Amino acid sequence: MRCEEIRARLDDWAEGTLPAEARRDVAAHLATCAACAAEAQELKALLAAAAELPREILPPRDLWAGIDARLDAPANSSPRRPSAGLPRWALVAAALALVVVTAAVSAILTRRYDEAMALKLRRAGEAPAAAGGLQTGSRPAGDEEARFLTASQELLDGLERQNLAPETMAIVRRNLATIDAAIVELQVALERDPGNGELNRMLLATYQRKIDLLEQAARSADG
Amino acid sequence: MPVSDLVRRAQAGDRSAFQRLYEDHVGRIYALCLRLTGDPEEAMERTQDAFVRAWGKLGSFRGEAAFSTWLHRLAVNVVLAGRRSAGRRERRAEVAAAESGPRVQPAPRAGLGVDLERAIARLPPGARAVFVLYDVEGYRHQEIAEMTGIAAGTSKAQLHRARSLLREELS
Repeated sequence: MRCEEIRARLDDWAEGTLPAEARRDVAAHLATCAACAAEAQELKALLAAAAELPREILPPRDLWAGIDARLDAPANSSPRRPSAGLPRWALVAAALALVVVTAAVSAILTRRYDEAMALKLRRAGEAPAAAGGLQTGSRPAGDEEARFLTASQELLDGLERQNLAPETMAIVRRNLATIDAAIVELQVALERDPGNGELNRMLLATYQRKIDLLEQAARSADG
Repeated sequence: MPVSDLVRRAQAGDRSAFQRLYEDHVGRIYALCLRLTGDPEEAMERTQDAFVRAWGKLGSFRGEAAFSTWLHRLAVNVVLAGRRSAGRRERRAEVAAAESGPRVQPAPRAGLGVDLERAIARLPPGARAVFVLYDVEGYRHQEIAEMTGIAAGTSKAQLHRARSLLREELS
């Protein structure tokens, strides 16, 4: 794949929203192209710096006096009291709709979580028989990796559909970016050393961390 | 006193309760306005506008979201509406910013983010707004599209542009 195509995908790569196959293509390219790898590192550094910016900055002078003076203006003279707004039947309908949607999202997320956990347990159960789980000389089984990616993407989609507060979503994104960066680094390392069983195990454990984070966020949103 | 109690008192017209809400939230709102405008003076004006608007709209706050979330979104709308109304003047500013940097930059503060803050202030307004809302504040492209009146795809393109310009600026 050409550098231009890779660079056009780096934003999605950095956010972990690329499909599995495209992520592998990007990882393979980054392992061999120093210029694109440097660009990817710059992007990661930028996003990390943005995440570290202070949430609060105090203005150089106190603004309350100016605000207080304007509250007397006729248009702002007093807050409107909360009114009945929607008729009661509409509120009841909205509440019922919310219950249905919440239940549906919970069911989807729970099913995905169960699948991920089943996968995790199966992997743990297979470990002794395979003398350390994954055989030396092999990447994580493609379908296993793909299932993790599918499960995490569907959890992420479910999370996006919930009305999480932007600041909560920002925290989730920051944590996901950290995990995704680790995944990509492991993928790149495995491209160079595909027979490294320890790297394979670390990669799958990192996928599991991503699933766990998404599940935790989904449960928080649901609660 | 819990925020919910302060909000209820402010909704009933208690100005001292509203002042407490201002004191608790002004840092967050000013930071947002400063990054969206790239100009400390304009940021202070917009911060005041946001709190005045919030006072007038407190009655419509029903607690579905946290008060801080409601106020934050209201402040975004205030800044973006102000910039839309600037119209032609804004487009001229964008060209000028691209050519020679902002007229006024945020005052430097101690810390690693100073260079990034300055670089954000130098971004063209459209790219700056999307970068601040997405990468700093955590809004989604669809939400940004609704707030700014652009398409979600345009928001994504502006984000790519902003990140590229910032990487150039910081490298």
